[in-house]
Amino acid sequence: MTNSFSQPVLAFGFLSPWLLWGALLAGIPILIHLLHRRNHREMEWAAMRFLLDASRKASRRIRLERLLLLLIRTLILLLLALAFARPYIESIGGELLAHTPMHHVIVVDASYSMQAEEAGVSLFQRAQQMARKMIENARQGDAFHLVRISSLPPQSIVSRASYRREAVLSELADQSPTDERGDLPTTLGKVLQHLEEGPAIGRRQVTILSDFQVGLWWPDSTDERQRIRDLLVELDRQAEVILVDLHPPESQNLAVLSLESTAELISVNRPVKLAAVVLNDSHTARNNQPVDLLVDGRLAETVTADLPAHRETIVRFEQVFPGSGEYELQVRIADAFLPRDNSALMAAPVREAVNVLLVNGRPDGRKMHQATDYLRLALAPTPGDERGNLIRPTVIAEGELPESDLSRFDVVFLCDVALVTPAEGQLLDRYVRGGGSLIMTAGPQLQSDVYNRVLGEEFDLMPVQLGDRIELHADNLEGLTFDPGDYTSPIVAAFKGNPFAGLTTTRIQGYLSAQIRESDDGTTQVPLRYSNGEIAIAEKTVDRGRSIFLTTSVDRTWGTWAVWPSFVPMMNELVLHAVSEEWKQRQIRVGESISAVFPSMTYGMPVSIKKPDDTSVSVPLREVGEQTTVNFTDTPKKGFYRMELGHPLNTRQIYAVNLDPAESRLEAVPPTTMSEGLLAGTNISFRADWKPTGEAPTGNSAASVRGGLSSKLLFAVLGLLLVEQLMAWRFAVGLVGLVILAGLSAVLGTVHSLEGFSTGVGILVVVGMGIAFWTFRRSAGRSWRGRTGGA
Amino acid sequence: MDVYRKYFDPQTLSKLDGLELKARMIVEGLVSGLHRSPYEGFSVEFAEHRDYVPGDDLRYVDWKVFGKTDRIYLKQYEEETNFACYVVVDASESMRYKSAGAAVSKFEYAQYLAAALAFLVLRQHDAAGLVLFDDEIREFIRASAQASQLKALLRALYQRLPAVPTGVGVILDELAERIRKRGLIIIISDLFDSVDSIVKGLKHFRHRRHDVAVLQVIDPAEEDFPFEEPTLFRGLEGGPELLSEPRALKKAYQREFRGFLDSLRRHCRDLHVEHILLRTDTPLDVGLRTFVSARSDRLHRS
Repeated sequence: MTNSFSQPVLAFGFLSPWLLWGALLAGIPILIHLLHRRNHREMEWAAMRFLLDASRKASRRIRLERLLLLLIRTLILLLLALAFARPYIESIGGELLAHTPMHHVIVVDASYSMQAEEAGVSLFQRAQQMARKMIENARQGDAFHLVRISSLPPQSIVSRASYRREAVLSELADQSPTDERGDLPTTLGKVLQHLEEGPAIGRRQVTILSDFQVGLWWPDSTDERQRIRDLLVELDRQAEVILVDLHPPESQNLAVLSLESTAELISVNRPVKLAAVVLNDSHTARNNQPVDLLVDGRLAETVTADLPAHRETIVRFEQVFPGSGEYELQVRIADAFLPRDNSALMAAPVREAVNVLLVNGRPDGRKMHQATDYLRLALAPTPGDERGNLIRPTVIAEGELPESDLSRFDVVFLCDVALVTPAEGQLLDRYVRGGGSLIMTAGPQLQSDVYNRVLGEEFDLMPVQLGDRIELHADNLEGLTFDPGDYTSPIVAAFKGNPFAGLTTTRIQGYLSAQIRESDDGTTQVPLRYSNGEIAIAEKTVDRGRSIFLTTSVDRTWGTWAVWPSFVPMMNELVLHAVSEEWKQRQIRVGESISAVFPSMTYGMPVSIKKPDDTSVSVPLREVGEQTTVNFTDTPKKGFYRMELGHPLNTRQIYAVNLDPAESRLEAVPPTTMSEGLLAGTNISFRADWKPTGEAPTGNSAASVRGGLSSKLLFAVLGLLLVEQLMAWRFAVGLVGLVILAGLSAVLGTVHSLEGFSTGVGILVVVGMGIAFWTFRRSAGRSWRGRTGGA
Repeated sequence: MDVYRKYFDPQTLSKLDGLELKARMIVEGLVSGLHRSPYEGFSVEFAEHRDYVPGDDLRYVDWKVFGKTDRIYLKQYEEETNFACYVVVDASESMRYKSAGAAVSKFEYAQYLAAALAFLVLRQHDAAGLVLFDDEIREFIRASAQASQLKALLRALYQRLPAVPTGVGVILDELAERIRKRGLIIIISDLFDSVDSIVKGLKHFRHRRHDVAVLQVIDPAEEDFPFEEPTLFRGLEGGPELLSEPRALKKAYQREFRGFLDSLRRHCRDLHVEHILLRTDTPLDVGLRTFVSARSDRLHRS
């Protein structure tokens, strides 16, 4: 399946065409000849009649000799200019012409899809074998760059052109497929860079060995596609480009694309639903396929699933975690085609409780009259029974906030707190940006302008700009209700299809009017509105944390919501939503960084990360503002990365690093799409007929091979210089020398397998000499006959 | 002899002034080197008196008659020898050629030769005459053995003649007609004329039973053709111009030139004419010796 791009059967070109200007030098002998004729001496001569007779008889021969000598001198300079312009002849198959060094850029696709196996040999191994053959088949003086298609640097394996084949082969042998997705534009950019920076030698060839996955080579985005095409066109302009398609004829891949929990929070002794997406990337359906769930490496559950062809199937599991801590979950499926994507990982931090701090802005001695009373009851229905409650609220008075250690709490509620001082604002800002969740609820005491100024303008924690207080008249029994829209927000998703929860029948008598702030950068969301369209709940992500504002009160001052059925689930959902990011932050993809924020007091805490290959690396802590952060970027392999935190936290966090599922779809770009799309209008060769036992695309294959002529031309120049000297001395001797030179070139051409070229040149020169000799003889014979006749 | 030899070199001679002195030196050097002169044994006998004219040699004044008649008569002697020698010198433009490396022109060389031969002949009391020609006969001095003859000959040789083309063959023909008395005709020329024409002239001489010797004077460059650079050759005697590369033409030229010489030599041999080729770089005594030896051989043979 060779793409029939127009390859010239025989093409002639120059690698340094600007040096052809040197061919003008060939005019020098002619110029000298003409000037020489102009600059002659004059002399009186007595024996003129003999000179005239001699001139008349010998003029033809002399003219021929001079012409031939002039021709040889001109030819010498012409060939010299040609040699410096480094000509090449490109031919297909058969006899090869002279050779000039080649600059090879070999690109091997190292994305994890290249680990797909066919007959026990992975695509990556085939690519390696092929690259090795190319390097071994290369000739003396060839230079190499080795590049891999990957998303993580270094894309360049041999980044400086190497002339040492052994070293390049060694680097190639050391390569192994990555768990990364290919980053084609970056890789092609590197190739272009190498071509530009590469050695100024002969010809340039770029060979790309890939499985030509659709996801990598023909992305959905038109812009990306155009970018790849632009790069290929530029490559084609600068070098001979060969794309070697290694994709297997038929994909039989089964892959677990992802593993997620449907729960916002994974907690002890509560059933957690898990969903794994399994892909059957083959033409045949796989029924009764066992899919395993492993918890901490032990088989926890096996589900049998029917997997239709070319479809993704969701396989569900349910798991209960008996204790708090870090769990490693893994869903796997048996498949030998591409083993690397047979499983998906999930790190599950299981909490025993969620600690919530409730800041009471309205102290009151009467029962259930404080701003936090209903909220506390809603979050922890059984006070005193700590074990029974997932959420453990702690109530403090407004004045205690500055002295509190917020790092102990997952969520902080400000309930109808009238004022927030700049010091409190700074405390809350640090807390939220470090990953905490702040939920502010309104009430009759809350001073909008202070919130707007301190938490809004000064610390940028407010999701909304607060306005006037709206209180409905007590006679207005209808009041306002909530409008959850299409229930897309996780906060209200639990109410969908559950009208008895009473969300839409909740009556609100008062609220603070609020608008999305003008300075909002699009991160603010409104999960819930009132029936009049005003904002009920607004949510904003602030660095690693989030800030939520509830524009009505969580007690009975502004309505009956606190005693309505929707209140308890709504408050619980708010809290769970506030902490839901925690486990999601533990799920990352290959190449993404692991980052965590700790309280400032942990600065100096030893942190190490144990990688999937069981090697541990110490990770430095960085102090950013009031916080201490860890940023670990060395995640090139799929697996669990275990972060060990020393004193004072003495705990550990587990991160699951998964593959990019896009690489699991092995469908290759069809040749017609390649030729009519990406490669249209280029001379790029797209080949798929390579066999592991076959030849590399160099040599006598259909791929073109170019041969230089410079050295041969220089030898010819040397020979002609000798002939010129001989001719100037004795023309006949020089003529014999020229014939010998022609013969030698033919013989040497035969020895060096350059028959076509050398025989052609040899025949041309011999024929030329024959004609010259014949003319000479004829001229001499006529002159002799003339003399004898005269006598 | 070595001292003399030094002066026989044309280069040395060219520095000396006075043709008589040069001729004397050449011949004395030559004669002192000979064992025997082939011309010895000549004598003269009184013939008649004639009136004195200014310039006559006072040695021949007959003082006895003067004493008796008070008039000045000169004694004239009758030639007793049959030998009369004419030196025929080509004074044409082509004879003026002198290559860069040569000491003298062909004409100068011919002058020395002619003077020396005249001196030699007169010294042995034979009659010597001189013919100077280019495209016509410019000077014709009848052969005489008088003592004043040498001066007359040298004076004629010294005169400046206009540079005009030559016509050797025609002149020889004319001369053969003019010189009726049998004698030795020594032709000194480069003979750059058609061989046929020259041969015709020589034949005419031979027909008159003259003994003819040809001293062909050429410049070394005319034989060696040593030029390298492109040269515009401008023909003397009004010949055409030729721009050529001498290196390429050398062989062909030399072939032509040698062909001419060979042809001339062959014809001379056939006509029993002495032919001696003299290059202007040949020492004059060598040239003369060659000539004299050849003559001697010839006399002995006959």
